Amino acid sequence: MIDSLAPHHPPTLDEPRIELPSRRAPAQRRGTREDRLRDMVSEHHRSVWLFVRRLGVHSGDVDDVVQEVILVAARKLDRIEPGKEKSFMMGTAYRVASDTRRRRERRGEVSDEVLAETVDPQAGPEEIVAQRHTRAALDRVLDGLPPAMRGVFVLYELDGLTKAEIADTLSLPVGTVASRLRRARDLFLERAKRAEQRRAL
Amino acid sequence: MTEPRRLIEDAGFAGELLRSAAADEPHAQALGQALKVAASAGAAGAGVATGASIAPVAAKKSMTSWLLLKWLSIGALAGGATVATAEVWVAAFEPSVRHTASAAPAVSAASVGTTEVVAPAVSTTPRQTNARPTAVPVPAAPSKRRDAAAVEDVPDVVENPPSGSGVAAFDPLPASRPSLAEEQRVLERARRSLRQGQPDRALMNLRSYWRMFPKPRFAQEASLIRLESLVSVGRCGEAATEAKRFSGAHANSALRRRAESVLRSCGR
Repeated sequence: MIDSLAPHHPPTLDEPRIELPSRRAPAQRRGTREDRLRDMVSEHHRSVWLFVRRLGVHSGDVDDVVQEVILVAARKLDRIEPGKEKSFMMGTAYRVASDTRRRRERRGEVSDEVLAETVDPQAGPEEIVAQRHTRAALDRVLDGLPPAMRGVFVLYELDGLTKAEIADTLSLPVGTVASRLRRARDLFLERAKRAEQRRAL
Repeated sequence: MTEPRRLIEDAGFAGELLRSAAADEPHAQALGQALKVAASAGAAGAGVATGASIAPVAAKKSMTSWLLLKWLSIGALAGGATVATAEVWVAAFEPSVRHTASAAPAVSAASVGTTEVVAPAVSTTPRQTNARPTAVPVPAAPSKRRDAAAVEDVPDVVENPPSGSGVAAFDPLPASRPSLAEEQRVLERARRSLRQGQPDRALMNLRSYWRMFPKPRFAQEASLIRLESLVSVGRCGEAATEAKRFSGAHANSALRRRAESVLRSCGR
């Protein structure tokens, strides 16, 4: 059954052969490079895309930012340590997203439609509306955080990274991450409380 | 180092807000586009993607260069006009200086005599500076323009690019081959089923996927979803076989580690 489902899979159990890149033929090196980039994108695209969007990048710019991240990764592929791919992509995304946001703000374009287009397909119409409202409220509350705090906050609260991982990703001292996170959480709670009060009215 | 309790676990409104982000997903075409850019950028070697796939951010840089050129042109134009006008005045009031002025190149050559020469001088300058399209090395450097159609122009990724060919990652696909977006959409269906806790349905979706795409371009991703689904329904034996097959077929894949960790959750 498996064979019929996966006809292209070679039935081999061989362990991967470790070769030094310098000893490989150019074509093989190219293949490895392309494979690695492709794997990186396959594995981390979703995280990067969502991170960029949650950083408040305009929805029309998100794909552009992600593509720029991929191009940077392609350029610096040989310098990315194995196992640090996600960290590299998220860190790059943070920087590119910041630039993009700044550019748009300079042009005076800060408004954006709400992200909340994805909702639980099992939900009824009222539930969908409620979900969209809540998601829109989250965007508004996040918009109230300064960009430097927002990045740390999103990585901690929504991506589930530890402070040490955030420090590694954003190339910041852990102490800076801790203080930004503390202030971001205070600000977030304060603004969330106000949003809740508005909703109750 | 202590990690504060995450607000997303909070039972209050703050937690509710953060949990609402759990449904976020990139749009359906996002991954397909990203993979095309990756294929193009990877194939171009040292990060120089082919013209069609350059991101708009790069295009904006190009736009900046163009604007720079534009302002330089305007500057040159204004400068040229000023020089020409000055020479006209010099010619009118101090004929002895004319020789010195005519020794200057191009602009001054057209500027001897009466005020009528100002017009050719001005019109010549733009022609010179309007060399912008040729100054930008379009064929040598990648074109920095990108539009919606440009992404579609990038050849699709193939699972096993033929080694030794000129551009190994590209495959001249027949027109009848299903689109990348279509393949991505079908696979996304399986992924969504799995995420929604319906692994049986995900397996069914995957069967459709393999049937529809006998030479899949997302074979690794499909195998991984299948593996996760098998683990979710407790078919650990099949999952182990699938994992071995995955490791064998994609020995250098970054997803291999994930496949192994998925299998470990089955106690293997």
